[in-house]
Parts: sequence; structure tokens; C-alpha cells
Amino acid sequence: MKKILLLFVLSGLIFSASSCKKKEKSCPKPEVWGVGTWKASKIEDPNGNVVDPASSAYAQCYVNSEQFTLNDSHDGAQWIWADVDQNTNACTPQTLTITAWAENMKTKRLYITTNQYGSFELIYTNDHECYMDFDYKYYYQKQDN
Amino acid sequence: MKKFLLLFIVSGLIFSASSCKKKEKSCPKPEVWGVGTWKLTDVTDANGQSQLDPNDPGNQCLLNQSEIKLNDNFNGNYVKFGNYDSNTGTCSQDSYQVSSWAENIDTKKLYISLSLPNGGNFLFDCVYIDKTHFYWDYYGDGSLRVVFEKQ
Repeated sequence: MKKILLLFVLSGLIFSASSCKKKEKSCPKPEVWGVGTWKASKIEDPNGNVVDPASSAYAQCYVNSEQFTLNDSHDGAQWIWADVDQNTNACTPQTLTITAWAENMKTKRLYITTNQYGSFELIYTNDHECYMDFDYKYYYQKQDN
Repeated sequence: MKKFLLLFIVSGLIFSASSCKKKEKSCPKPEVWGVGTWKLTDVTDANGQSQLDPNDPGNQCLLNQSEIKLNDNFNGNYVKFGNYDSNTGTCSQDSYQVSSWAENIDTKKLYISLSLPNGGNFLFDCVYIDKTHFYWDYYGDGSLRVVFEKQ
């Protein structure tokens, strides 16, 4: 009788341990869309028309060079910032350091602080596209790993 | 023998179900510091030296009437600043809607996006000192800090 009782208890513990190990792994991980490299894709004017890079030195510089990378540690990554010399139209990208970033999945907003030019708010349209909403909209596409 | 085997399986399932229910509840919740009401308590330089004269009526107005409210929905809250009219000697509140906010506990950053009456947006770029204090980094370089305390 004692042996049966012992077996009864042991069986419960074994089932419990093996089954719960799986459950522990199933804790939901917070969803993060930002991590990765985001490349400039297009500029839209206030009427929603895409600015043709062939007719705008800045739009050309933007789609060819601007990109930023966000990492798991939420700081220390880079933003290559497109800049155009107004006299010569030369494209001179600058490298900024991202000092911090955060995102809000409820409002679909992404916030990035740089070591120059302060902080920026971007709006996610989905997990692969976001834009900065000034008078013009500056779009970025996430690059697949 | 059959009864014993049945008992063996049933006992395992009961233990498993009751024990795992507890484990499911123990999933860690993301820590959020921002939710609540925050009052403006000081304006300092980078060394924490106060830049306010509490006897100045304009500063009194700023201290008494400025507050930020942030909620779990991460939008629909407000930022209010005490605005002193030196001509009439009256203190009123300028109120702005919070269109979105987010925080990063790792980097101690708090971002509050405000909807402006003209349709634009303004981004408050703040830094947590601890769980109950943050400052609005006025110039973005930490040289002027508008300090808020959680109520």
C-alpha cells in the first residue's frame, strides 16, 4: 500500500514537472517591430504624391543614403542622415548616434533620440514600414534579415 | 492492475493541471513607470540647481498649475502648464492633448507626443531620474531640466 502511495505521488510530480516546463516557455514576449535596419523608401508631398528622385536632389540623396538601425539594447546604433549642400546639390550623408529608442505598440509610434537633432516620432503603418510626418512624409522600409 | 494504471494517469493530470495554473499566472508583466499624475516641482540646471524663484508669481503659477497625466491607453491624456498673465496678474492653464506616449525603462527615456491646436505635434523628450521623478530635457542637452514628481 505504501509503495502504491509513493508511486501515486511521484507520478504526479513527474507529470507536473514535465508539463509545466512547456507552459513556462509559453509566456508571451512583448512584440517589438523596431529592431533591424530601416532604409529610406520615398517622400510624399502634402497631397500624397511621391516626390520623383530624378527631379529633386534631396529626394535622390534621401532614398540613396538615408537609413537607421535599431538594436535590442535600445541605444548605440546609427542613423545615416541625408543632407544636401544647397549650393552644389552634393549629397553629404552624416552619421548620427541613436542614444535611445522606444516604441508604443498601442498607438503604433516609434520614438528615436539621436546625439544631434534631438528626438523624432515615427508612425508605423505596419511592421515593415514607418514614416516621419512633417508637411511631407518621409517613409522607411524595414530590410529583411 | 487496470485501476492502478488509471489512478496513476489521473493523478498525474490533476497535479499537472493544478500546478501549471499557478505557473501561468507568474508570467512577468512589463514594468511601466509613466502611468499616473505628475506635478511640476522644479526647474534646474544640469547640476540640479534650482532656476526658480518661488516668490515670483509667474513661477508660483508654473509650480501650482502644471501637471501631466498619463494612462494605460497611452493616448488621450493631457499636459497642462500654468501660464501667468503679468498684465492682469492671473494664472491660467494651457492644456494640450497627449496623442501618444512611450517609455524605455532600459534607457530611462520617456516620450510624450502632444497634439497642438494648429494640427501639428510637439515631442516632449524626458528622462527618468527614478520611478517617481523625470525631467523634461528642455534644450535636449540636459542643461535645463523641468522636473516632474509622481503624485
